Amino acid sequence: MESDLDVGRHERGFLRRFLRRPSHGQPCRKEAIVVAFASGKGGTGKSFLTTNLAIGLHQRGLRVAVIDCDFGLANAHLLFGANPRYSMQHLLGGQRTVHEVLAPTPYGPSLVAGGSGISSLAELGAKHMQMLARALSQLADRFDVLLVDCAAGLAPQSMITVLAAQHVVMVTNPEIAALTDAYAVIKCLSRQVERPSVQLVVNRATNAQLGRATYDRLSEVSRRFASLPIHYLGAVPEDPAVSHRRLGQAPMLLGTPECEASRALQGLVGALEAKILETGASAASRGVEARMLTQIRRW
Amino acid sequence: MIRGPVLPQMRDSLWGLVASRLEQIEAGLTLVQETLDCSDGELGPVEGLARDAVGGVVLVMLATDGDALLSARALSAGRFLSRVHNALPRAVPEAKYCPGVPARILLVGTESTCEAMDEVMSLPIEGLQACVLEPFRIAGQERFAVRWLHSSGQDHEVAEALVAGDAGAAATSSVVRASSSPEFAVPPQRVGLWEATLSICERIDDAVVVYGDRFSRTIAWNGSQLGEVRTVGGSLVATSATSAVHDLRDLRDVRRFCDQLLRAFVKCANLGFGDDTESGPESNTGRADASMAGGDQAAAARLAVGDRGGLGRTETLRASLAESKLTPEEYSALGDPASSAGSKVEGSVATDRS
Repeated sequence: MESDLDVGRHERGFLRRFLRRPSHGQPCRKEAIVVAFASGKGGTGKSFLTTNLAIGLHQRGLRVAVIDCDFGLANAHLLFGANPRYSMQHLLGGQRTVHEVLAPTPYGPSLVAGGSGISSLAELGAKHMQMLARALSQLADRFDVLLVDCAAGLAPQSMITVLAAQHVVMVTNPEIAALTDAYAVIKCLSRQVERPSVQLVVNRATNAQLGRATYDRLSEVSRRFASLPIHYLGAVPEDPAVSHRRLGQAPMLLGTPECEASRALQGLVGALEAKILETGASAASRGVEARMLTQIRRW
Repeated sequence: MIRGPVLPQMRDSLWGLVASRLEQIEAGLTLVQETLDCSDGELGPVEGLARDAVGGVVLVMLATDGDALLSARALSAGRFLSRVHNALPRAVPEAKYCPGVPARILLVGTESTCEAMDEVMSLPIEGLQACVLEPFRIAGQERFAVRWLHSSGQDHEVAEALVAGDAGAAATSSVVRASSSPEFAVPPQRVGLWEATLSICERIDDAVVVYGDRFSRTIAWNGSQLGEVRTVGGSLVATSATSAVHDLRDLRDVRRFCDQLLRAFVKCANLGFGDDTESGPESNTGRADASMAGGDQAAAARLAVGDRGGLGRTETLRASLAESKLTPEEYSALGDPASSAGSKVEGSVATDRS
């Protein structure tokens, strides 16, 4: 029964490693909390939420950087009204350091723009993802919060980025297509040993009741079939002020602070800030680079 | 006069109780049909025809007070089974019996019928098993415990502990065991995997016990359930405390399941895995809370048969992604959120079901 004994040793080794983890009271390196914005379906409003929540968190005194990882379809720089000289393309191409790529925006948060030179996610290999992990680690030393705008869907590159975060803000719409795609991402997360906590935001909800109902449905299915609890961050109502915005206008939170959507965004900022502060007070986890490298090795 | 809990003695009342709780008597035991007459009406019918977890034929008989024909009925049932049990899969196709699986007779009685049951147990009837229902009352509710009878008349313990595997190791292991428990019917091709699982269970902690009935084994630590392994058809299906279901097909599946056992143990023993807060990064120990809150284990089991159901510690990220395809049940459950938000919801695009 040598093979059985091997199994036992393996598991006991795991247990020993497991029990050696640092307790909460032990000091650890101060590193930014990483929040990923993800969705199953495209066009749910990830970039819209990322930029506005970044501004909201910045207004509350946190040092915030936005990393646009929606490779190929990056548009966070447009929403910020910024025109950075360098982008992710230069970073992953090894032409510029992350500090050179990092650009200020007119509204406070710093930005690593996604760039338009990377045509598809499939072109990013393990080497590129390792470079991204290193870059995130360097940024994590300088900021309080890193907001990562991920690509929609279940591409491995996107999931690696999501799994490197401590929180994932899952953005969905009440429509069934967005809901099923969001659940597919949640189901994938549920299969991971180390994973971020999932916070749900329902965007374009025609009323608060529908936002909560959407959460209830997704939460129930996640709990029942994937055994993964998800948490409700809030909903952003359908607002003409959002869809009528044009390039060059200030982001929603600053441009029309009195509208219904902006008020909802402020609520989300408060809720996300509370999560971030709780995590900062309790977490003794590995760094973002280590978390990401673990996932890259599993690729 | 204080009256304790008493099981109904009338045959119909007792049968109503037993028929609705066959699963409690033996994991996976399901009723196929009631009243099977196998003696041309001379001795009365056997109460139920059932199917066990591996597709075997089980005749369920009741022993009631004053049943003078009990032994004769049992003998008749035994002869009937020995003659036709190989033909029953075809004769009763709705039961989905598995050909080649030994048939059994399950005699169910109460304390007052123990003597008569002992007499029946002494008869040369192949595949005969007997159990006694012991009623008790808790918080005003009547429940019953199942006490199995030996052919020698000795009683089993209610929660028998058993660890199979290497006989030499058994002598020195501190894991609680009892040699008198029903043997776990492990599919032959899964015996090695079950032994590997037990081998790991033994090493988790001295207080880990493994107990159960013919088709299921519960793995517990100081009363807290860490996991369960069931025989389902030709498969060995394991459910962790977190409701994650694993079809144990190879050692990788065993490792995944045992990984969950360890996590459940660490959680139960408060050994420091306490950073699973709502705000912090979550690990799979979070599933324990979900299961405590009442996850749909049956649905999970349905999904997992045929689904490897493993967690991502050993599988690649691509494999995880491939396993994330939604099942029809999940699609159906996601449904339409607007419907639960009430009829006042206007302008929802949730009607897009394409």
